[in-house]
Amino acid sequence: MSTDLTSPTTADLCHKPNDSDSMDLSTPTGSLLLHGVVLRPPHWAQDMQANRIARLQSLDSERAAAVPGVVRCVCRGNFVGVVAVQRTQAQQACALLKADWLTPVAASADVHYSANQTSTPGTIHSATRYEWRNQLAEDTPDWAIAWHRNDQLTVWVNTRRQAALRQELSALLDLPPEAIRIVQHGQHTQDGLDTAVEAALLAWDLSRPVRVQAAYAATSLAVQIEQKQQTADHTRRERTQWSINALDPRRPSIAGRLCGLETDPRSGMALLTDYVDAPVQKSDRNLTATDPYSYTAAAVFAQESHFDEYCASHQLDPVQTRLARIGSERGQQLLRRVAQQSGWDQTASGPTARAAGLGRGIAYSHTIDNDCNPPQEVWSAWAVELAVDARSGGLSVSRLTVGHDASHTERTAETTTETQRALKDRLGKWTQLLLGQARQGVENTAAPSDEQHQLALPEVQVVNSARSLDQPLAWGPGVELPAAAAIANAIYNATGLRLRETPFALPTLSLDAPPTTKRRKRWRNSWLGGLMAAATGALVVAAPWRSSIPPVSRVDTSIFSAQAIERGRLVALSGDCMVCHTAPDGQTNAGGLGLDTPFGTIYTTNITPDRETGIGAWSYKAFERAMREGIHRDGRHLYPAFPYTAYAKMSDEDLQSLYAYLMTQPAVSSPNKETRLPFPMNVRPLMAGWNTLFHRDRQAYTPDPNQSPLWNRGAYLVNSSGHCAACHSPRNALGAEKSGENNFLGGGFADNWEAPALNKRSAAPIPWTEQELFQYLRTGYSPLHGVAAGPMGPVVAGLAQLPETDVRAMAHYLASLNPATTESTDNQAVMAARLEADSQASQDTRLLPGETLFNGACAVCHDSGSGPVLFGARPSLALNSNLHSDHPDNVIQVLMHGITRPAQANLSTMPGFKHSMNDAQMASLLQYMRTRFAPDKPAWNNLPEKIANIRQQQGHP
Amino acid sequence: MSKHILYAIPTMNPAAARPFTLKVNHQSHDVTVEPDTPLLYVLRNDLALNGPKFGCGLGECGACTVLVDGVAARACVIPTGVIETREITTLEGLSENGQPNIVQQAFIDHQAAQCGYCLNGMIMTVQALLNRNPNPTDAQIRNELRHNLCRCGTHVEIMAAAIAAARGRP
Repeated sequence: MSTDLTSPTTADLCHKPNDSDSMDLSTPTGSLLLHGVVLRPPHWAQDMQANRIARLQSLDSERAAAVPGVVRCVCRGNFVGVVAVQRTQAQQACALLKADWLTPVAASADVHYSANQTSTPGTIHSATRYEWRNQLAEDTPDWAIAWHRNDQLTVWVNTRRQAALRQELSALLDLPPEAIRIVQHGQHTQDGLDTAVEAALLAWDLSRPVRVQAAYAATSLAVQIEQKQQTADHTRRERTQWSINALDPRRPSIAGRLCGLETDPRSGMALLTDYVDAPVQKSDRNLTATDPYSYTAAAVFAQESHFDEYCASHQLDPVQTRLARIGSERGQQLLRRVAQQSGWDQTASGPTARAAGLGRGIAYSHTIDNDCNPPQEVWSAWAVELAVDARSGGLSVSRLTVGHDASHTERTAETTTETQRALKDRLGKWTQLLLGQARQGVENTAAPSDEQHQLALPEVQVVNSARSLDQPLAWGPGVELPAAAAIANAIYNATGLRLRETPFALPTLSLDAPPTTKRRKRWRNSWLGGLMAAATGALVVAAPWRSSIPPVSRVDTSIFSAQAIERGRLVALSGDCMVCHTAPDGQTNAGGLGLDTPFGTIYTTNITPDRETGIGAWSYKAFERAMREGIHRDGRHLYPAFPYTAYAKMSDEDLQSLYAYLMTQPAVSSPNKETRLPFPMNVRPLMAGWNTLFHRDRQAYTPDPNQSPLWNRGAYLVNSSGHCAACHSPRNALGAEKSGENNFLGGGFADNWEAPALNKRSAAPIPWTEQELFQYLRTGYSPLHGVAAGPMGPVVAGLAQLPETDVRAMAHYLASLNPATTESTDNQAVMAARLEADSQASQDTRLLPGETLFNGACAVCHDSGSGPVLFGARPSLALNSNLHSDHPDNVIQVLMHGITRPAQANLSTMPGFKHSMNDAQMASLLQYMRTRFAPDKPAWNNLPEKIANIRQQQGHP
Repeated sequence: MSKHILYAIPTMNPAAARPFTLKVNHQSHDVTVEPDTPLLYVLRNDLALNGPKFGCGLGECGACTVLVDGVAARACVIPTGVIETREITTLEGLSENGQPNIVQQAFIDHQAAQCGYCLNGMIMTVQALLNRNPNPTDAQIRNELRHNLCRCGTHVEIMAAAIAAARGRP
């Protein structure tokens, strides 16, 4: 369903493949398919923004070509890439490419965009930030496949810019346009122009299909609007300056630029709205490459929201004020008609409507799409009426009025034959998608009984321009541009809350709405109680006996909105609740897993909403107290193996959502196993003293204003729900995380595995970069470091389900803890190559008794230089952090128990050698591996004891 | 959203048997097994495909080699749960129209077997090499077969067969 909605162009129908040709156009799969990965010059985004292209001076691909599975290395102009049988192999080979780049000084005369706007002097007087996020783009990164055979180039891609793609490929590859066939796969919302050109360049002359996957899914585009007061020419005047964290999309593809195609400012989509400046790019370190459509959508969202804020603060009518400023006559006409038809003058607005939870909003856009020939101008205006459900905080759009006009109606009429009815459906569903409702709708199909989540489509009115009265409204890129801003404006009108981030989610339950039922009242009371408990928390925290919070007879789960439950699910994933609260053979969240701690085994408890054995009788107040203070509902102190020291930093909204999620899961009756720790740990009241000593900071996380939103989001996830420090920080004799900068994420032990240091103490032979951290957290594998195993496996499996931007934020934050992350990828490749070379079997290692064992048991998969290509990841041992660590524990764990449940299936598994090697053989193999792969590190101590000890353990699945 | 993540947060007991539809030699087979069951056991015991052999059980000898999406894989150490919808080819699946394919024919012609236990792995590994490199050098073939163990010592005949297969003359 979602693909239909979000790739609404039907333009691909125009380029129907020639039926007489019997070529199979289904997406290539299976063994024929190859994978490509490209190497971009360092700082390419900044350089491209400044209109200078790093020149490739030399390229040494010898080591890359030696990586098993590599088919070819492509170098065309400044474009470099590797094609291999598996994507991980191509990534590994790419990291081993040795490229020297030379960055020319910017030819300033060529910088032709908005040079007059950059860095206006003056004092900033206010700054507003809007974030545009294409939520559907997050789950699956964009990809394209190209196949060049028999002088025909076939490209599977999802793009709105077919003509531009055809033109670019034809120019780059010197192919007649008719020899290029473009097949839309329609699976993504991102524009695939960039990946398609990369795939085509890699697949050229290969006669096999090559798939290229975008490195990142779209991150949020942030538009910042700053009001500055200028005093330069003695006249104080206000100036608005726009900036956006994205590369100007009015350019050929990135690969095209690297191959020497020139930037054409008259390509792609551009904003023509009269009352706003075009955004200026920030010379930020983290520029995002995006497609013209998303870029324009972000700009329109910011512009129209900001204009509405301006009108609200000056008490102006948003329609009249816009009309006065719009220069284009057709735009004026359209906006007037939409306002008229939506009954703008009649509908109520203001305090009375707000009290009833009703709101209205309007937004307008005027764009030009230069990819069309001749360029197509599009006007669009949306008026939205919506209602906020006071009980659930849920939003529903009750009425939409959509108007649209285009400069060449006859052309767009060709591209669509939709009926008004289908179009209205689409508009309505598209709106719900923005509200984050449709996605839940998809999941709800699994449980059709859940009637309360069924959504009614809004009433939709379509307004045609005067010139095309007899034609259906043509859907094209540009029509839905004002939608997000119109909804945001309506939400503001209804609730007084200004939402500056898409998709919208109201902080449920915190709306101050009148109670409608008795049940609702109880909720509110307990909620207020929770607030009061938190306020007085500081006073009672040291009390060794805490009061019991009375059980509630039944938690009314109907007051939880679907959004809150979904958000709670993601919070639970990021907090890994079910990883610890599920026994190996038990039901999800029913508890019973034994956690080995230095103080004894602690059994996790049942957190399903079962009244007798779970948390079904817990009020929110009791739940919040447990999460923030570590106190059971009955007043008992919980052990800090439950990471309440981290959970305390969670936001109220996240905790409320988590409660909503947990309470709506199936109840499982499963009595808790009793945790018996030896004296004095069994005296739970002593934990009060522990809390006074070590759990002082129990406030929700407060963002650091000097850091970016991405960094703050990462810091929040890592330090609150993610509780990374619980394993990755050293603990003192009393089991508390040690304080101090060096100790924060400075490496620890959990479940008999070493949790390596994430700060500057990291033993990784190649420093972690943001890109590698992201890849590791998202896929469980980084070619430059290794695979996730042991207790980290389930963590990665959970992260794989979080929105991509959250994982990216965590990587961004963690990378900032490591001082050496400015290493560019080519330096990393040089380091990797040197480490590999140093680890080749030498005279010294050949004499070690472990050599034969290694060749027999390990080399087939871990011989990074040669040997057959086998299914799965092929982690290089020379780059593996565990072999470079001071502690052999993780290597022994993996050798002993293997990796039977990989974080992701395509990494495949490793067998354990517990039953085929004795302690002495293990010791000589470990000695050999340490000597060969970490030649600069001292030999490990205590190997025999550690081996004997870990052999006794169960091993992590 | 999470369907390709096998061991995502367990919504059910991950050790419990569940149904799989395996694509083996272009046919679909429904089996109900524990996800941890090695693929080799399912192929040999449930699907009666006895081309792949059980050798060491640790992925070291190569007797169990099959192709997973065209790439060589040691079936004794790959859990069925990892396979899901990937395409599996066994020795039986190489034959074309009931006749041995070019690699199999080359091994027959060169009498490359003594006890024959390793031959499945040898043939499948050569096939995997030819899938990704149609014109390998002798050194590349030798390198590819380096980790397939043969204890009868038929290496000379095996190399001759593999080279013949690679040169396209069985």
